[in-house]
Amino acid sequence: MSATAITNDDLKQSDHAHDHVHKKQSFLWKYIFSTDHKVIGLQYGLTAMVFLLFGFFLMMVMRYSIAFPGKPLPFLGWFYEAAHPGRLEWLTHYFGWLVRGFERWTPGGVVSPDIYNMFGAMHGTIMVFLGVVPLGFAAFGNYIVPLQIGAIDMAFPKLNAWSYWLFFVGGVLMMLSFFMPSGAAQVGWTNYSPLATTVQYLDVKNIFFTGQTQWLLAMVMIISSSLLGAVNFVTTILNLRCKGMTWMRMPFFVWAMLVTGFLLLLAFPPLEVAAILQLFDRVFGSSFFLPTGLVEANRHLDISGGGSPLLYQHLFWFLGHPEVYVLILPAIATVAEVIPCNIRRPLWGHKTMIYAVLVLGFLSFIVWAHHMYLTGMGSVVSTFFQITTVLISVPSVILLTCLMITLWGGSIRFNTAMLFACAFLPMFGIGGLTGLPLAFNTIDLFLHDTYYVIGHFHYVVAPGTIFALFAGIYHWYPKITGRFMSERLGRLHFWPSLVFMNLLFAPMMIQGMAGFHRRWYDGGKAFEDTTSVSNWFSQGWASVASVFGVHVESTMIGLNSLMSFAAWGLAIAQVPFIFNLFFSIKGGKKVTSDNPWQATTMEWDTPTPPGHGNFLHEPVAYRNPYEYSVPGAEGDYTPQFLPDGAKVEDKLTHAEH
Amino acid sequence: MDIPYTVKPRPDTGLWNAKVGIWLFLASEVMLFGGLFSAYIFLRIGADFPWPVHVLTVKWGFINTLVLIFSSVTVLQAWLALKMRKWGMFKIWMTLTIACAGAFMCIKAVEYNDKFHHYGVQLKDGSVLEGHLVNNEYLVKFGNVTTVTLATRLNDVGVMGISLVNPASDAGFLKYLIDGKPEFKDEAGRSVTLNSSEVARLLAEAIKAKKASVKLTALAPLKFNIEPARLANYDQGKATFRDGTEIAGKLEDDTMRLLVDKVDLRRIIPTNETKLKNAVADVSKADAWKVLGSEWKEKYLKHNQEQSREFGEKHKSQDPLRNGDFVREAFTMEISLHEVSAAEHEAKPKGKEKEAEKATESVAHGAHDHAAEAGGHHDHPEIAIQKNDIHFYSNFTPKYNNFFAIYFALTGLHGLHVIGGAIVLSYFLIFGKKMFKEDPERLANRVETGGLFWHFVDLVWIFLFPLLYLM
Repeated sequence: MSATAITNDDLKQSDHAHDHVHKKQSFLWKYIFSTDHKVIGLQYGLTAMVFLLFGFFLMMVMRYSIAFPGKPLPFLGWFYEAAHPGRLEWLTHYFGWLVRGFERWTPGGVVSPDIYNMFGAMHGTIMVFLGVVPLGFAAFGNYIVPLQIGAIDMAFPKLNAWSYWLFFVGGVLMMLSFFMPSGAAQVGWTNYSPLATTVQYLDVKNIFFTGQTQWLLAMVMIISSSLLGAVNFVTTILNLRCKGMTWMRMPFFVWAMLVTGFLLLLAFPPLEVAAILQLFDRVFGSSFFLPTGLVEANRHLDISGGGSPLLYQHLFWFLGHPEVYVLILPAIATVAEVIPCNIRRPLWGHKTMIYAVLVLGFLSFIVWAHHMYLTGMGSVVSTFFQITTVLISVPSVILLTCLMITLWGGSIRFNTAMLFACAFLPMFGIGGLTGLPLAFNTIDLFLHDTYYVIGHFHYVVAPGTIFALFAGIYHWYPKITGRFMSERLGRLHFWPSLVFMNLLFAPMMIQGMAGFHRRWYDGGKAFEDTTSVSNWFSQGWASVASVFGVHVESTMIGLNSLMSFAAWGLAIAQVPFIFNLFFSIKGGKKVTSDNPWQATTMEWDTPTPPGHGNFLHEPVAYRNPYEYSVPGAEGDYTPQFLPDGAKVEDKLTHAEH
Repeated sequence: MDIPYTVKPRPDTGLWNAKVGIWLFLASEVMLFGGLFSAYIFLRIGADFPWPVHVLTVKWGFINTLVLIFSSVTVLQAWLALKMRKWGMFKIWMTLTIACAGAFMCIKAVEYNDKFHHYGVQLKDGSVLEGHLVNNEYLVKFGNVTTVTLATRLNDVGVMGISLVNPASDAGFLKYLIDGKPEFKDEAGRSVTLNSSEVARLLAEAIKAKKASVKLTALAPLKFNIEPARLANYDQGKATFRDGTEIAGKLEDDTMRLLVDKVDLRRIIPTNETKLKNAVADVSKADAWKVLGSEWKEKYLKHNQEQSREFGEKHKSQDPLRNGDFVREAFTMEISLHEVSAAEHEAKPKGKEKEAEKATESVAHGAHDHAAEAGGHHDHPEIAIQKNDIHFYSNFTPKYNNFFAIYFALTGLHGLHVIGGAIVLSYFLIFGKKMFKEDPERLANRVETGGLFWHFVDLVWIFLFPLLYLM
């Protein structure tokens, strides 16, 4: 065991690999092509965070175009000017190709509608499929689930590695699509046909090497990766629970992951079908999603027609809606671990939450068409989906309410993880409640495709899911590295993030209700009738800005700059986190116990960090997962792994022992 | 330390890991094929064209069904042999299973190949003619080509000016040069002989100079015979390849020559038509007769009358145009020079039959020799269709219509599953000996897992066969 354990010493050796040439091979197999669930979890986590950062970067460029349409981008504008013939000749000489490339997509340094669309589509795709799902489900699930159920690894370790590498290759393919001659995919993350089929279709040299086609190929890989992962997770939870780990003794985290696994398993294949059929349409010229008589660029397309664009939307949203719960369930699961631990009270309604999450999982399969009220699929169908959509809010509210009630009367320990977990509750609440109006098709008629929708789901996934995932990172970091993350930097990360998130997403709701469309690349400059209304909020922002000597229009369009500055501020707020994440590996405060948060679940029974095989002795679950402040007990926590009559030991073990 | 329950089942779930895994995987596979079957239903219900039925050869599908069912039995026997620890028997049964997979794919290949060479042409009014191309080719012929313009496609660059594939046009068009040497003069008057490296060099120079194109003048007029799929568009004076290369010359011939085996005029009948008489009047004015000739029109109308009479006798109260089977039988007709269908045999008095044969002979006159030359397809008349008359044409690939599209999607994906399953089973057969010696139960479990997958693949086919071949 000691030969393959991950310890700080090993990390040190790998840093100086040239001193230990004989170690090199083992490093490759230990950290790159590893089949250990913890290493794969970390791989997923780091890759997903890189993608999240990149997706965020795309959005920042878009927000510049929204706030300052027609103005050159800051650095690019300068570069462009400098590289102009007659000035800095060497720049033109060496970087002329770069300017030529920028010329196509950002003429004069100004964001063109084309690249705005491209970044918009890729922002959505990257955030959902390459960022949040891999981080929430694959990374946390991989690292924590086997530990919490007392398993030594996932049921199929090799499959697990395959799953990661398929995801990785799919992600790389997605990135490479930016460098196709026609650029990356441009029609939104939903990739609706017929537009998705006919864009980059005529007048391209090779339809295979276009962003749209590569998007589909990459998606097929990412979906296959998710399927492998889901099979692995569910099998692990069904078959590898340790002695004593009965169904109701499983922490809520594991339950949520089980349901998420089933969602991925059953919802992703229809999207794979959609992607395959759209690939057929693009590459083989079929008409699955193309109606008869389609005209593109004043040319009748050479297709048979007779297909159905609506079919694509059905296939897409059959995945798309369960996908929403794939995004949010790991987040709720993480919060459900962080809160009881830092509040020293049992999770209120553990069983209720389990039943709620099962109902939620089931219902999420029959609500998909509420994304399609405006497609003209018929009022009877709309009514059905309206009812199911309102129904599904019940289990969601149960989950949130249980978490809120857990707070009641607790002695809260406000570490950074807890701050993020606490912020999650109202943020996710706002995200969820603003979704309710959208469930009704009469209201959706007005709000569909406006910034209101953008505000709604970003509240769910950004200050909702991502905050919860931050909470998870701060919470489990000591188990993974043996050191705490800095609390000071954590607060520097948390408070600005919270403020900027709200400044970023709350005005979206206001703009959305005023009728701002979600895909305006110029932020609505061309639509003065819509954007020239004002209210107290927009006027307020204008007066605040004028205090700083900046002129901002007092109409709704003036809010664009508020949101854009909030977005860039949010980016700056992540700098302390990135520092914290990497520097705490070596410089963080060392833990003095295997169970530094004095938590009760099984993962804290392992050495720090857990070695290959995880547990030093056969793990046994003796009790329910959240036994905090049990009346009559000696301490304020009685871990699941503590035998009856034994005393809580506060000790630190290392894997190599 | 090993992962538990890889061989022995876990007591409370009663399953070993891989068995849980494969059942979960099969559940997701059900959703995958379920999605495709749903797509089939959606497309068929919403089709705004006559959905093709009974167009596949039932014989092949039926044989394939038997092959797969048999392979399900053999894979079970292979598993049983392992359970009884008989390696020899296992080898025989597993080999048989994999052989069945091979046979299945071979039959599939025959079926696919047939479709690649069978064409359908829809004329402007909706008449559909089906058949094979003469010499299996349809070419757009350009003569007197004097200038060739290569495109640099400066605008086709990826983000930051980086393109992973070269967007500029290439030397692909030279493949279609059939007469003359590719000797040109460029704009500066230098002479160049084009080949792929020369084209690349010229384009690289042009890209450096930020020129949109490279214009070349041929020293002597050239002739091109081009596959239309390579062309983005063309008119009388010039043709543009998909890669942007443009040739200027004279369009000499783009007539399609087809050995017709079927005529289908259902698309001509308006969907709200209720009177059979009007429908017959519509189809008798079809464009198809301009290319097929009036003799075939008479035969067709006679066939139509025959069908209507039979239908009228059998179903007195029914509206014939609301009966899809009738419309299909009455408004489509197989076209063959020598074979006279059995129904017509019965219907016709002897004298008339001879006349009909004579008529056939006269239609085929001239075309017949040509058809014989093409090798095979002697039975079908050759016709020439002007490009201007064609609304849409394709071979029977996904492009032709959504029936073939979903046919290829379903059977293609199923075929991939067959290949995947066969590879896994072959792995057990070829590399299983070692595990058989060390831990035979584990190998048996593996074969059981593979076998479960194999049965699923079989089951999918059991659904596919009636759906695509019979319904």
